Amino acid sequence: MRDMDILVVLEMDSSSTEEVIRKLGKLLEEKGYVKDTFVQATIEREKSVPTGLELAGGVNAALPHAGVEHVNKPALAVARLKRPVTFRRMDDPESEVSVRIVFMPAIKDPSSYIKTLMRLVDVFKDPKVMDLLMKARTEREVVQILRERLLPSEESEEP
Amino acid sequence: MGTKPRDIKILVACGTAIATATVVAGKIKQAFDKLKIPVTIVQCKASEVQGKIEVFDPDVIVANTPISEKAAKGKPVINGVPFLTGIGEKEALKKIFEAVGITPPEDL
Repeated sequence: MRDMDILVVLEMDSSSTEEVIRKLGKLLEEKGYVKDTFVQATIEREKSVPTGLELAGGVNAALPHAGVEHVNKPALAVARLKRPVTFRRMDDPESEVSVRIVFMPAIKDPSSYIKTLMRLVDVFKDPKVMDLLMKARTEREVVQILRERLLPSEESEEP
Repeated sequence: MGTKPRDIKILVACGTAIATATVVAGKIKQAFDKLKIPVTIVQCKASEVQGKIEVFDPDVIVANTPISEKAAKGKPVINGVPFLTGIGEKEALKKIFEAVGITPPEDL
């Protein structure tokens, strides 16, 4: 999993779910992590199976993504939003949640992704870490916070 | 546990892929392991619930996405998203224990 890159965009200015997915997906596409079908597939998936999650600390998140067939190599793209964007809720697609941070995984190997997701869920459940992510001043800081928590310590490498 | 051991079966369903269901199943398994209660957990996509019920006959369905009453065939359905967000996680676990006929421990 040490090969999973983390890309971060701070204060992304978007006004809709689709715009966030388009911008963040394009970033993954430009860097070669995903195929040109990824953005549309993610938009479609989000319509049928939304990913908005209400979290304990009030910083709500979403996890838009697409199937492995749209991915070249694994990565996690993260966008902190300048203004909250409305996503539909995973557990209740009829209602919405106001999201401030979006995690878009490019999933190549589902079993390795599950390990990452397990750790990401621990981040979601910890308002202190979510707060750190929201207050980090640079992209690099966000990457560090996430690397520490998403990549197993025995595999983490010195920079 | 004074009660007779019996086969507890839980079906965990999520939207399309299996990833979030696996995470939720893992959290439920941990809770049962902690109490040394054997449990069989099967995962599926929400669209497969109806078919899985027939072959697996779960005590309870834990779903990250809404499951219609018709698809659930009278089985209790519990929202699995609390295991992803932490909001209401203990309550969800309590509901699962109750649905399978186990008194939830005080220190969940």
